[in-house]
Amino acid sequence: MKGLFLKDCYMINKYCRAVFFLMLVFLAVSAAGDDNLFFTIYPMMVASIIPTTLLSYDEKSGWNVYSGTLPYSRSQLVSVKYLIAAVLIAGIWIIAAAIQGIRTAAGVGLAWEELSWTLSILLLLGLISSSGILPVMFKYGVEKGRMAYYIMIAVTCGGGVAFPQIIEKINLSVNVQGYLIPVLLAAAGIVLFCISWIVSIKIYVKREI
Amino acid sequence: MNGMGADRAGLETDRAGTEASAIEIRDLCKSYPGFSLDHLNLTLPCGCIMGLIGENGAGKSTTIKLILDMIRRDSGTITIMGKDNQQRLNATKEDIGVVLDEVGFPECLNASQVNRIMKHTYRNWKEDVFFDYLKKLSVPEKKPFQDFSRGMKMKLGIAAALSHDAKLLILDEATSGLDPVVRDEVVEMFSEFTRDESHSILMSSHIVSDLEKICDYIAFLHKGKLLLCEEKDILLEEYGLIHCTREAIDAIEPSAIKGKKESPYGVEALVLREAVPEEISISPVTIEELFVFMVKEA
Repeated sequence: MKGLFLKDCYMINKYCRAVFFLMLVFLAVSAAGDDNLFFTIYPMMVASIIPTTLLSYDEKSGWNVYSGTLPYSRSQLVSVKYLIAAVLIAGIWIIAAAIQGIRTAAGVGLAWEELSWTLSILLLLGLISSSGILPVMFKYGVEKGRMAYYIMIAVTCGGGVAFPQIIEKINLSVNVQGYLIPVLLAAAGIVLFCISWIVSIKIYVKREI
Repeated sequence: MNGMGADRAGLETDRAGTEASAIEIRDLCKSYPGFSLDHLNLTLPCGCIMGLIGENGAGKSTTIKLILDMIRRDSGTITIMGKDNQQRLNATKEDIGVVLDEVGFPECLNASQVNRIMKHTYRNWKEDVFFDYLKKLSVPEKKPFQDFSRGMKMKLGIAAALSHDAKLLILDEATSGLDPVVRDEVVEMFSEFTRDESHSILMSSHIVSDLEKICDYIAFLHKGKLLLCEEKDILLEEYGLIHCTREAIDAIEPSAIKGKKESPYGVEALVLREAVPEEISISPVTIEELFVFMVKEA
């Protein structure tokens, strides 16, 4: 699978350079920021859909067909996209956590409990986005799967905004003081990501290429 | 005629099936709306080159994709170098080099990057062999794939297919888009590849002259059916063309006539040489003519 990963790295380097620059700018702004989470969430959303961009280029070049002639299993062809998603999401999350952690430690950012909520929601959004889009892309191809892509972006962005309000309305404010729910949220995101991975493999094994 | 072709194909299949086969296809069926591959039986003996000829939509690419298990068969069996193609195909693919009609490398990659990717893909990837082929075929190492002409893309695909000690090459329209000089060079490379008796090639092409030049076996596919599968030399030996009047053609045993074209100047007919009276002069037939006559008659 190393060859597949290397190929995707070459493609990211070529096609996503500007996007990476933008993500870093946003994260830098979030470091200087006024607790506006948009500059933290946006890079995560962009990172989570990069595998979809790669799939799109694969389809355009015919790699999705040619790769079927190489000594890779269907599960490896799927797994490399999830691996890329995991690496990018983890990368953005670590940078965001470092930035916000430093701000909190310096006493200019969120409280530690709030920070744990923010970071867990950030991770959840990234994982939900990839988990929702990729199986649809593997099932229907990039062209037909594009609708899922737009729906997922709307759901995750809307969800990101609505989530704190929902929590507030159902009166979970007592637990905001603890770390259990943030940890559970992050764990739920990881479980969802793993389920999506398995579902995509099952879909792609059956798909004719 | 078709019945006879199928019988021959069957006989050949049975004969070759007992020997080591690179590819053995039995009763392969695959249906799509508007197309079905119908009980295909085909055997490619080791050390041979088989040309798959057929019009657009005849089932050539479908057959190749079924061999590589890229699409699911409805029924039948396929073995590649003695192994079922649905069992441990990844290991088998280490020994297969494939060039598809659309080569399929990402547009942004150059040949050097393709080399690094393939080095981590094939266990037996031979970097030096790959770069030798690039040099031989004048493929630039650093130019991005998107700036290549179609011919250049094909050449890179061919270099990649030949650089990992493959025992079987599967080529789908691999010579299309190449200019005649390079095509000749590439065809020579394929021919050289099969000098090793354990090496075999299955190639489909619209350029029948390329197939005629190097193939040992010829298989005609038409609308998902195998019209004929035979050694090329036997085909050229058994069939011939006659040019005569309508009256003269009526005097020939109908079963000997495998296809005919009538024009105001007379009749041109594809015939079985042995069934034609000696006084009628028979000219040699090319594989392309043979195919066209048979398809029109089918």
